[in-house]
Amino acid sequence: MGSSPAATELAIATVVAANHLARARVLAASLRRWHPDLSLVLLLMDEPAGRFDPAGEPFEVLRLADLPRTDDLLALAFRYGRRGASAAAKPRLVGHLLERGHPGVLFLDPDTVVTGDLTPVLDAVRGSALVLTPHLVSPARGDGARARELAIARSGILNAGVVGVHAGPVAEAFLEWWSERLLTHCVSDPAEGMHMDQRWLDLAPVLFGDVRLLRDPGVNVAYWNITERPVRIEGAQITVGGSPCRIVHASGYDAASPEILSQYAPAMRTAESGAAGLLADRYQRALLACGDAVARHWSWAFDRWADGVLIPPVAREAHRALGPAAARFGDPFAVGPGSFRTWLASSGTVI
Amino acid sequence: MTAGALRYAVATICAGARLPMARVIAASARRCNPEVPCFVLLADEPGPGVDPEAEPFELMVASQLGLPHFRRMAFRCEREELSYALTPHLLRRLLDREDLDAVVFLKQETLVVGDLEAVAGPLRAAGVVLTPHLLAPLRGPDAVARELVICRAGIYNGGVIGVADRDPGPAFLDWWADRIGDSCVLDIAAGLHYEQRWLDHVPALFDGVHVLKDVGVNVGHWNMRERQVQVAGDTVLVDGVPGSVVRFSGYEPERPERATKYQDHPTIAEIGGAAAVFERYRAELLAAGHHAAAAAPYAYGCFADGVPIPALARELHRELGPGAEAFGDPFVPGPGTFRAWLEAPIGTGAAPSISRLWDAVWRRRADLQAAFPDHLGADGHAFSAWRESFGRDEHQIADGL
Repeated sequence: MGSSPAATELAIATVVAANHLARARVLAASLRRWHPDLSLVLLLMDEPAGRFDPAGEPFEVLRLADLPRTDDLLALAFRYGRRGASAAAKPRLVGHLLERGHPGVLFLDPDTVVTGDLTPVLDAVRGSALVLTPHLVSPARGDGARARELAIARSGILNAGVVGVHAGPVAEAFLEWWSERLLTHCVSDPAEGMHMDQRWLDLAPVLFGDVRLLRDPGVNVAYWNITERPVRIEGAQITVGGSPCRIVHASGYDAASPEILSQYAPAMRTAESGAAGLLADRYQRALLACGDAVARHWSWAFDRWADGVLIPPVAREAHRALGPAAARFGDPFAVGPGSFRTWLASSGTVI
Repeated sequence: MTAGALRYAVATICAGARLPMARVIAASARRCNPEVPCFVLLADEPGPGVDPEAEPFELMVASQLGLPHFRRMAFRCEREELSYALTPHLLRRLLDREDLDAVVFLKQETLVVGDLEAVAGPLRAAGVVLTPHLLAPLRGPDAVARELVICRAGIYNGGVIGVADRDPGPAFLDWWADRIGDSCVLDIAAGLHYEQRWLDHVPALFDGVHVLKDVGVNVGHWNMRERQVQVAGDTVLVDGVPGSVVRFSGYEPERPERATKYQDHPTIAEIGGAAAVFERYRAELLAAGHHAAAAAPYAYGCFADGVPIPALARELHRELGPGAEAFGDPFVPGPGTFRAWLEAPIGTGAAPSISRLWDAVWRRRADLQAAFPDHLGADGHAFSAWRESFGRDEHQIADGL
C-alpha cells in the first residue's frame, strides 16, 4: 500500500483534490480487481491537512513539491480553482512519471472505473507515442444525435479522461506543448475554442506523429455514448454493444444526486437507464464505502490566500490573464508587499 | 470499384460570380493531371454569359441534382454557405457514377500546382482523406491565439477532401449531408463553422479515414508562416518538396496586398516566396474573367418579385424549422407565403404598422429596445423613423419589406 510502483512498468496515474479522494479509492480498487500487477499513482492537488494519511491509501500519493516546477503547479492551483487545477496538472504528472523511468503512463480521470481487462489499452500505450480516446466511435443515433454531436464538438472530440503516453521524443514534445497551453488556457470557453484541458487534445493527432485513436467501444463508456453502446451485465462480465466494457467514465456523477447519471445530462435518469443505471448504483455504494460522504465536504487547500482570505474568481482570472508576466510576483498565495494580491488591490480590483 | 487504376475526378462548387475560380481550378488541375476530369457544381442558375460547352469542366447545376429540399436550402443559406452546404451532395452523386471510383474535392479558392496523386493516392486504401490546417505545434508570441483560431474553425480543412466509393466514403457523405442539413452557419459557441467543423468528428466516427500529413497540400494563410514556399519555374516547392494544392481562402484580387480577409496576418509581405504564387493566382483569376463575373446576379439572392432577401429573413426561416413547410416555396411572394408572414403587421393597429420582420430586428437589439421600449405603440412613429433613416441600411432590408 502506498508504495511506488516499479519504474520498469507502465504507471496508471490520476489527479484529485481531497474532496474527490473516494473516487480515487474506488478507481484503485477496480484496478486491483483486474490488474493486481499495476498500481495507481495519484497527484494530490490539495493538502491532506490531517484529514487522511497518504501512507495508508491504496495508491502512491505525490504532492506538488514532489514534481518539478512546483511554482507552475501553484500557479495552476491559483488560476483555475479546484476543478481546473487538476485538469491542468495532468501533463505535468505524466511527464514526471516518464522521467522517473516508467516506459509509459495511462492517465485515468479519478471518476473512471476499471470494469474489465485493460490489456488492449495497455498494448496500445506500449505501441504508440500517444493514445487518445474519442467520446464517440460511431455517429450518434436517435432524435438528439445532431445535438449530442454538437455538444461534443464544443467540449472536444477526444476525451481527456483516458490518455496514454509512451516515453520518447513525441511524448516529450506533446507533454511540453500541452503543459504550456494549459498554463494559461485551461478554461471552458467554447466560443473561444477552449474547453479546459480537453479541446487542446483535438489538435494532438495532427500536430504530433504516432498518435493512436483508440476506438474501442469498451473504453470511456459514459453518458455521452451509452445510447450507441447499450450496457449489459452478465455475472462478472460487463459488455457494451457486445464488446467487453473496460473503462467506465462516471463523468458528472454525484453520489449525493444518485437519481441522475450525470449532472451534465440531467435527463438521463438512473432508474430508467437499465444496466447503466445499475452500474451507477454500484458506483454510488462503492463511493460511500470509500468515505465519499465525509470527503466530499472537505475544503480545498488553495481556496485561500496565506492569511486566510478567500480568493475570489476575479483574482484567479486576473492572474491567468497576466500569463507569464504573473511570475514576477512569485507565490500567488503570498500576501504583503510585492505580492500579487497587493498589486491587484492597487489596480482597483475589488477583492 | 474496379481493379486497376483509380479513376478519380476533381470537383468544386461555386456561384456564378465565382465561376472564374472554378475555371482556374479546372485549368490548373488539367496542367498537372491532364487525364483527370473536372466537375463544377453551380450553386446558382447559369447566367446568359455562361456557355457550358466552352468551359474547361463539366457543369452541373444545383437545382437539377434532385435534392428534395433544395429550394428551402437555397433560401436558408447565404450565397457562399449554399456552396459549402452542397459539398457532400455533389460528392455523393459523383461517387454514384459508373466511371468514377473517387473524387478530390477542392474548395473554390484553390490553385493546383502539382500532381493530385498526393491526395488521390491514399484513396486506393482509404474511403476518406482529410487534410489538417496545421501539421506541427506553432511557435512564437501568437502561437496560442493561432491554434485557437483553428480550434474554432476546425482541425481539418474543408477545402481539400478526398472520398472514394468504398467504406467509409458514402457513409461519411450521407452523415455529413444529414448534419449540415439545410442551414450551414457560423456559430462557434454552438460548435459550428459552416460545413467544416463537422469534419473534426470524422476520424473518430468512421473506420478507414486517412489524415493526410503532406506539407504540399492545403498550403494556406493559416500555415504559410511555417511552410517555406518557393516558386521554381512551373514547380512550387514547399519545404523543399513539390507541393500540389495551394488555398486562397479569403483572398480578394482587389486587395492584392492582403493574403486573406479573415485575418490581419499574414500579409503578402509576410509570406515570403508564397507571394509569387498569389501573384500567379491573381493573374489567372483575372484572365479567367474575374471582373466581369463578379457582377453576375445570384439566382437565390431575391424573392421571385426581385426584392432582395435580407439575411434576417433567411435566419427567421431557419428558426421556423419544419414549421416553415406550411408556407410553401419561400421565394414566392403572395398570400399565405413566408414573405407575407414576414410583412404581416404586428400589434394593435393603433400606431404605424410594424411588420414581423422589423419586430424581429427590434427583438435582436438591446439598443433598439432601450430607445423604443414601446415600438408597437407610443414609440411606433419614432421606431418607424429609425427604420427608414438607419434601419434599412444597417440591416440591408430593401424598401419593399
